[in-house]
Formats: sequence, C-alpha cells, structure tokens
Amino acid sequence: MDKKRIIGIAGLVLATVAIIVTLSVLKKNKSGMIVREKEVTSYGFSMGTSTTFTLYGDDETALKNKANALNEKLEVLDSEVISWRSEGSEVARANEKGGCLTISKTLYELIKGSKSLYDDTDGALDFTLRPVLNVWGIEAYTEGDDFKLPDEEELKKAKEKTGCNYVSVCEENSYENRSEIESGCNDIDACDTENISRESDAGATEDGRNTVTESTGDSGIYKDVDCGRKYKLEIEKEGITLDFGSTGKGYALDIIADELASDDTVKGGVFAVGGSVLCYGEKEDEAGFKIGIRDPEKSMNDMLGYIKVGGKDEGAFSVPESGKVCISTSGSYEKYVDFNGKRYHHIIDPKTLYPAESGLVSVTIVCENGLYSDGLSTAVFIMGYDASLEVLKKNNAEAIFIFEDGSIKITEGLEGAFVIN
Amino acid sequence: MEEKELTGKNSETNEKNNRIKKADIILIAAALMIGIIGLIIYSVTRTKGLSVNLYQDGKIVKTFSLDKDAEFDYESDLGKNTIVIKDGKASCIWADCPDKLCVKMSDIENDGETIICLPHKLVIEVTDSDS
Repeated sequence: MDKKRIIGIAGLVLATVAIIVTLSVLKKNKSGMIVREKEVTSYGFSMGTSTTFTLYGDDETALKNKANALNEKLEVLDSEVISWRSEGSEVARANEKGGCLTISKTLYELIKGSKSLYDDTDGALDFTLRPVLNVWGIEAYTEGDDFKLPDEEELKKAKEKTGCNYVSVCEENSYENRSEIESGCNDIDACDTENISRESDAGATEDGRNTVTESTGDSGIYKDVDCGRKYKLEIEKEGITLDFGSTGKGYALDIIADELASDDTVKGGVFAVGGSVLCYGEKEDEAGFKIGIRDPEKSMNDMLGYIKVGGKDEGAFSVPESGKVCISTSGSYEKYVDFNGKRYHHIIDPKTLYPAESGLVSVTIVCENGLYSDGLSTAVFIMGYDASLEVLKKNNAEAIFIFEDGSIKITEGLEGAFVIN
Repeated sequence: MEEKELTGKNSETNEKNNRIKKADIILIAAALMIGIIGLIIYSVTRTKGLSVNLYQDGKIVKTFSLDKDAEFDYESDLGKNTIVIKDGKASCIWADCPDKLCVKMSDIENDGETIICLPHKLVIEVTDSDS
C-alpha cells in the first residue's frame, strides 16, 4: 500500500468522524437538522409549593434570566400580596384590620375573580373558609401527629367566621368621569378607606380617598393606581379571613402570562406552580405540549394519560389568541389522613364542613384563565359531576373527571385532546 | 458537508492513482457503516437519562451519573435526604421531612422526570444534557 493511499484512507476516516460528530451535535439539540431554539428548565419554590418552568426561545442566557425573574416575581407576589401566612402582605393586613381598605390592582383582580367563582359555584369555592380548615388541620398534618376528629360544635363555631358575601371589592376612578367606570363602589363609598397597598403608602392622603397616588415602590410591580383608578376592598364582618389557597396559584399563572406577553425572548413554555400548569405560546417545531394527568390509584409519577395542547396534532386542544392554556388538578389523594379506617382528605365542603364526598377522586380543569382553572378544580371537586357542568360551560372551561370507581368522564372540548395511556 | 469532505479526499487520492479500487469502496462503506452504527448506539443511549442533577432551592448542588450505582445523604439547613441510584434509576429512600412525599414518589429514570421534596426545597432531576 503506497503512502498516498494511506493518506487517502486516513482522510476518509476523519471525514466520517466529522460527520458523526456533526450529526450527534444536531441530534442533541432535538430540533432535527436546524439548531434554532433553546430550552431552559428551572426549579423553584414559591407560593407555598414547588415551581417548574420550562422556557423555549433563541437566547439561552436571556431565557435563564427570565426564569429567575419570574421566580422572583412570584415570591414577591406571594409575600407582599397574596399569602395570608406572610406577615405584612396585603392579605394579612386586610385580615388584621378588616373594614374599608384601599388595595392594589393585583389583589383587586384576585378577589374579583375569586368572588365571581364563589357566586357561580353556589359557594363551593369559599376563600374565607380558613377558620374551618384550621379546625380540621389536614393540610398541616404530618405523619406521626395525633389526629383528632373535630367536633361538630367546633366546626359550626368556625363556620360563623366565614362568608364571601361579607367581602366586596370595587374600582373607582378619581377623575371626572368616575361615574362611568365605578362599579359597585356605592356601598363602600360610605366608609373611609385605609390604604394597605404598600407601594402607594407615601402618596396617599390621610383619608386615602380620591387621590391620584403615584407608585413609589421600588419595583412598582403591584401598584394600586392604574390610570387614575383606585381599588377598594371592604370586609364587613369581623373575623373574616381571606385565604387564596385555591385560586392564588392559578392567578400566578395569569401574572406569568402577562409578563411573557410583553417580552419576546420567550417563544413558549410550560410553567407549573404546584397543581396548576400554564402552557404558553408555541413549542419548538410546533410539536405542541403534553401535560400528564396523574393516576390517583398509583404512585406519584404514574400518569393516567395526557392532554395534548397546541401543535399540529389532530385533536389537540387549540391555543387561543392570548397564547394561554391553563390546566389545574385537584384531588383527594395528595393530602389526607387515614383515621379509624376512614380517609379524610383536605378539600372541605363549605356546606357540610366535612371533606367533600362527590364521588370524585380527581378533577382537572382546562381553560384560558389560570385563576378560573385553579378555583374551578377545587369547586368542581366539591360540587360533583352533574352539578358542575353548567358552571364549566359558563366559564368556558373543559374538565376531566376521575371517579372513585376508576371511571373517567371528559367534557366535549377535550375529546381527542385527552389521551389515556 | 459530507459530500464536500468526501470528494475533496477522493480527488486528492485519484490524482496519482487515477482510479478507485474495489478495496477503497469497501473501505468507504465500512467507515460509513461504523459511523452509522456509532450514531445509532449514541442515540439509543441518549434516550435514557444519563445524569442526575440535585437542586437545592433552584441551584444545582450535585450531579451524578445514572449509570453508576450510588447511595448518598444530602443535608442542607432544611433537612436531610438519602438518595439512591441503582440499575439506572434514582430514588429518595429516606428523608426527615414531615410529609415524606419524596420517599413515596416512584423511581425516576427518563429525561425530565423529577422527585421533589417540598419542605427541603430539593429537586432530583434526570437529564440528558451534559451541562
């Protein structure tokens, strides 16, 4: 074999290696032969639960920064606005003071949405149920603790401190045309409001009314004034405790989506805050999203099936113009106590004051609005299949019901989109 | 790219020899075969998660290979978890957290699967990326 031939062979081998390496690199990027989009996943802990964000886009560094910024945003949202546990949050201060208060737009929207669900679900979604939940203590129960069945009297006494009908909000315009925008402020107007939204403390006048306050907060994220509008809250009865455990996480998804809409670094993504998931925009190659639904009978990572969202697949749940699809699940299998041969789960029916017995073990809601998907999953779990169909329709929401006997029912809009494994 | 490289090398070889021998063709085919087989093996092994990342409060604190059996304790100021890697699967077999949900979660072995210990702000993730 002459020298030239050896060089030729060596060249061929090198070329082959080069091809393999090139193909491997392309393969790794999971987008066929075109390296285009990047994927970033981040894990965090806020809103009293774990968060998993997966973002798609072109600029990896920008995606990472965005994921961190979103996590921080949720932490601030929780500690400064929503959490009743967090001392100094708007909700904690409202619970402490009661009466008439000026609140941030962020809290106003949350209460307004939650109140609307309370009305629609005939009280099944009750964001003032905290005293009753505390009597049960199932959420806080940890293995090894002594569990005591609460007595009727105790529950009834706690029930007296509840009622969303004692809570009202309104928005008011401080300019001349206020009468046009005002909605439901007549009652609240009768009392002076005390300002509890942080960012505007410095700008509010003494009586806190009809003043255009500038946002003075560092972040300016949760300002209480929006184009001259003011937001008011009134808690009419003493002892009422606001607790947005069943709508707050979904509302956080709405806030994430708003944030993404004003920023084009993120093409799409999946954002999970506890049991609520936001599918946003498009996934690379328009492959669509697959959101797994846990099998209540089996262990935590076992999926019963999945929902196809967006993409080119036939039957997939179509993404509306907003780019938002929110999916929330409530179930009796996550947090419960087994006591004297009976299982007591954490979703308490405000009517019976006992864990809901509607024949369901899991409810998954799919709709555009995060607050509604989160709140409805709890409410529908309590109401049961038959009673909730109308509410779902009214709120443009689809659902997957899993019953105690293992049977599954889905609403029309999910036919083709929900695939059982 | 493939074509360019190949013709480049071929013309260089042909300049002196003027013809491609049968052995050359066999060699080219063999080299390509090796490449394709290598790529297949590569992609098959790629579908299984290769490493396990441990996140504490959102930051990676440890990375392990999923191929090598191991058992270790991870302790932060929030608490302690015992993590086991066995037969290409990762699990949390013990924890001093109140709810023990991380222990109840099933083994993870595929890309993207996670075990989460909420009280300890710990995430165990299987991933196929090398970073």
